[in-house]
Amino acid sequence: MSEKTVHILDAGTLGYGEALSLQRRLVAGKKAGDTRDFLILVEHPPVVTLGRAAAEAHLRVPREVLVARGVQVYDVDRGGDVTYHGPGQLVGYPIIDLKQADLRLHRFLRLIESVLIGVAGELGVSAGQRPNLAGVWTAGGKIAAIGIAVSRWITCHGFALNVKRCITGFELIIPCGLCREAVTSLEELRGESLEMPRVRGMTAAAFARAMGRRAVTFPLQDVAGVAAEPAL
Amino acid sequence: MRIEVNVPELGDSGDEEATVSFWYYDGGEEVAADEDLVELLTDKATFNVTVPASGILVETRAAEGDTVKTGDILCVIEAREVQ
Repeated sequence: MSEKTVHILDAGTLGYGEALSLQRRLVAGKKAGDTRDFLILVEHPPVVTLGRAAAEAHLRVPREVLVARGVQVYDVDRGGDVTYHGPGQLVGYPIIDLKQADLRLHRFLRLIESVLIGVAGELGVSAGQRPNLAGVWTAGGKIAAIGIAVSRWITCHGFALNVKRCITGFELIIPCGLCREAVTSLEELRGESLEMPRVRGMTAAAFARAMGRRAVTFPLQDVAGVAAEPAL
Repeated sequence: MRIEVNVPELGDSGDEEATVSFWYYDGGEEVAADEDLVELLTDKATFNVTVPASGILVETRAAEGDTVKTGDILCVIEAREVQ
């Protein structure tokens, strides 16, 4: 019963471009009739991405300098402004058919936020939503960013949860264009170390629970059998 | 048959606003069912409205950059007769 499960792909550490083609393959498979839903969980090497609403001025450092420093830069088709991904951050890409799941766009965004708030809560960190601001917030600042894209009701892109204390890339940008808002992490707020696999497992379980699904493992190598990456 | 394409319900209150981000097709072009037609930009998401039925995109009623609301007419498609 594929409708009652969500397939969890643990992609370990993967380049942003590789993760993007992984998402595109799964989306193409779903558009071709695959009824399975997926959640990709991954860590990226340092990368700055600009969503559709991004302003170039929200890069504090010119693109060439970022690239020279080993930070990749991507313009992507998700909603939202500028964000940074790097080691110590758990990135999640849900590939979900919203129509099949009977979820409207905004409800799905709020569902993702509630999942991350729940994970933070389980770890003793009090987090919440802020009116008119997407993402997940704590008294110490923002701990998670959200930005998705939907085509034929199938979602792509997703969320980024700051887990480790030492995420050092946010000074390169004005995250989400909000210059006065601090960015923080679960480790920083807890004051004790936190292992990524634990947070990854908790996030997968919480997401499946919120969707009313059972989480099943989907091995990364099985993606080869799903679909070829579509030509752009 | 003429089909009006509306801004879908994006949230629960029914009066959400979005910005027309871009059209995949121009007026007068042939469009195929289920293809992406126009991208809307909301709060934290891009949302592609798809072609409801194959035919000709007769007229677009919202330009790129325009703000639209749930229910607004985005464009009109002259659907090809299905035999």
